[in-house]
Amino acid sequence: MKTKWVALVRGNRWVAAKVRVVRRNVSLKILALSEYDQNEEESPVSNVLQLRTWLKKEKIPLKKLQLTLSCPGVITRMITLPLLPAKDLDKLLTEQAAQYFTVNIDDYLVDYRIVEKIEEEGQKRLKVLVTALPKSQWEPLWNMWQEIGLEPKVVDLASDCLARLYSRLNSRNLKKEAGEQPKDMAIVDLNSDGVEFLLLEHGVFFLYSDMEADLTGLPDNPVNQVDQAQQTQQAQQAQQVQLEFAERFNPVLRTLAEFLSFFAMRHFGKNVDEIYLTGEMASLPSLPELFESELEIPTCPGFVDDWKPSYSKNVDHPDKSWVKYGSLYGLAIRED
Amino acid sequence: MREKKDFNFALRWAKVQEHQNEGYQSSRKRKMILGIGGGILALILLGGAPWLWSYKIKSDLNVVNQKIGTLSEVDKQVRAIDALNAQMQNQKQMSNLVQENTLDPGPLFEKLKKLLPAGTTISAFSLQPDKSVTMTLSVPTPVDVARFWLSFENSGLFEKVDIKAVSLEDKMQNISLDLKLK
Repeated sequence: MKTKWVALVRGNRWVAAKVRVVRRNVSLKILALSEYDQNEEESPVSNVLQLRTWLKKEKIPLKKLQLTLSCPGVITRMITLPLLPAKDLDKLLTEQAAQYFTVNIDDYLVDYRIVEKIEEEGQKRLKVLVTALPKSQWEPLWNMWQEIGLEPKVVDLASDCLARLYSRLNSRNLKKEAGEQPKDMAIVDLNSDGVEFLLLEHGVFFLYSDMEADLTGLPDNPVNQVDQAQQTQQAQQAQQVQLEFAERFNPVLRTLAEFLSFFAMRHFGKNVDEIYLTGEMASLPSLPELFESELEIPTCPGFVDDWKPSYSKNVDHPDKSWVKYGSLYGLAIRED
Repeated sequence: MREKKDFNFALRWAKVQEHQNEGYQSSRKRKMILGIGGGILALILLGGAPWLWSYKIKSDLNVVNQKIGTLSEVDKQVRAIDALNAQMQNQKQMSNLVQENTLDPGPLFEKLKKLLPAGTTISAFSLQPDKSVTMTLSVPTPVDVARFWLSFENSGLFEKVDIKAVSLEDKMQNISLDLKLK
């Protein structure tokens, strides 16, 4: 059991939580939770001061805080390499990372992680995920953290935290003796300003992508509004609301359909088994139904096997708000 | 080194910055070494400039001397030709001088003999290169003087015949004449 402070940084938004973790059975208890949204119209200096004040008010320890970052423009590459000593691997994937990307790698901060060890044609190999983070995103954040006296020892990637969480949950109750394999799944992290897609192949990272989307101003409960409309004999207006809801999610659904089609193409026509929704928009009612009807794949908000974190009594949490913080839970179960 | 199973961009950023600092330091060190080396080289060049200039002049001189060396044979021949030309010129002048100064008075004597009255003796005769004739005569009488004077005048040999003084005494007359042949 371990208690730690973790925070999700997405643009100007922060979600920080104090969590108690039992890593063995992926048990998580939220001891404190706070959200902060910076005002974009205010000056950077003012924002720094406000953020510092918020961190101080919430008693968040600046030196022990672990961060996970969600930002646009992240590029990932899955590569297979022969078994190499860790030092050589580190040198190859940092100093010579340019060979794996078509962009100017000097503009990116590159890191990697070993995904799994496999055997191909009798040879042991490493599957490595290399990720390039735009410095144009990273440097302003880092400079701001320095200004407020934050020196994070760990900065993870939100999408990889999601992969960690879903992968662990997926293989948690697996009967390997009976030949059970983790499921193939798609995870959609829905936020008001953007969406991230993550595809796991038997619990292992397969594909990551993101897209800009404006999901602000969506009705909290379109179904209820429809019901209300029906009650007030305004069926046409209610239908209009539902159409608008579908229309706003249409680009997200089309993009996801393309990724799923790519997945199916690489797996002899087999598609992912399930779609999971997380992020601040994941708790919108009728959203799973919309995904299911459009993509014909079972979709549910939240996590595998109805997993959810528990909350300390003094933490105020609206119903279903636990669905929002998938990447934060993924960071919490990280091993360091 | 532990097997890397998670991303950590904070750590990666620290390494990148460390690497950049090392690069900056080594670049700064390299620049400093280059600067010092360049300075020393410039000082050496500056100090050795007169010597280098002298060396350059010497080497230019050697080159010119070598060229001159190759031309010395021609120069000798030219000098020899010049010497011979000068010698020839001198000899020619000498020859002209001899030729000019060598006037045969024989034919003139023969003509004068015919003009002189009988009994006249020529005690001195000189024929100059400018065709001036100086002679001293001894004429038997003053009449003879008039006679040869008229003969000389009418001969057309001389530009002007002038007798400075004639004694009226009837005796041998010694007359000096300065004449110029036409």
